[in-house]
Amino acid sequence: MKSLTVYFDGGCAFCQRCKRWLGAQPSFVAMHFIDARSAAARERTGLKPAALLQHLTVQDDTGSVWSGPDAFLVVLFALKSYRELAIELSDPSWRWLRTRLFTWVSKNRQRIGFWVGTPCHGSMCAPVNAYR
Amino acid sequence: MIMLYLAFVSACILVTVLVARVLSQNGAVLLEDVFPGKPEMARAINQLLVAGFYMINLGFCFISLPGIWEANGLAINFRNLANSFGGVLLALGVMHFLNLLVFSRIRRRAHLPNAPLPVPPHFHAGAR
Repeated sequence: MKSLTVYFDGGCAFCQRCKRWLGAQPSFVAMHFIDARSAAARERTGLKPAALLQHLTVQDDTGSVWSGPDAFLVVLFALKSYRELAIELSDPSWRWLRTRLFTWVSKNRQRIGFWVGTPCHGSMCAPVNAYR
Repeated sequence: MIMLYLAFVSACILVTVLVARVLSQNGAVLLEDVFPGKPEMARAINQLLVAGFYMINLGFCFISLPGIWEANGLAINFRNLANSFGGVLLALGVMHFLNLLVFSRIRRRAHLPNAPLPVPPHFHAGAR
């Protein structure tokens, strides 16, 4: 893996903040970011908009795609400070917890945004369900 | 009483040196694996760790000298001695495992850049 493309939800202020944080982290591979609501995201992954917005999706330079909780793991794996954590969390004994945790984060990203001080505004408040 | 102290201190130094030798000899193998092309680097790190190990353990030995010596209390004297020496051995054991932890951590970190992917890809969508 030489580079990693993260398809983040551009309609979610919390996701944009996470994206900025990700971009500032030292990483093992080059990190690229594409709005999951864009046509480019659909073309590159071949996924429908609903799938792209329901789960976090990442793609490496060879075209391999991860979606859902595993995508969070791959993102952590790409970061220098979090690779160890990602390897630990990939153990089957963490499966139950990581699946629920990452699914919960994806599902409640707008609400988390309110809690951590990055509420949506204007057109960004579009509910995730509207894109299914 | 001075004989007791001398015996205690020499016993402490003996076990500290023995454990330090075990650590440095076996730790060297681990560290050479971490710094493949740089044996002098591995040796230097090993020496630094052993120096810290000596200082902490000898320091602990010296502050845990048995304090009370009773003229006719053989059992009490023995108990005091055993208590102090037990403390020293426990400290050595804790330090030994901490060192092992440090070695294994350094080793794991060094291998991180070549770590295999934690999860297989879900599907391929053509190279970009």
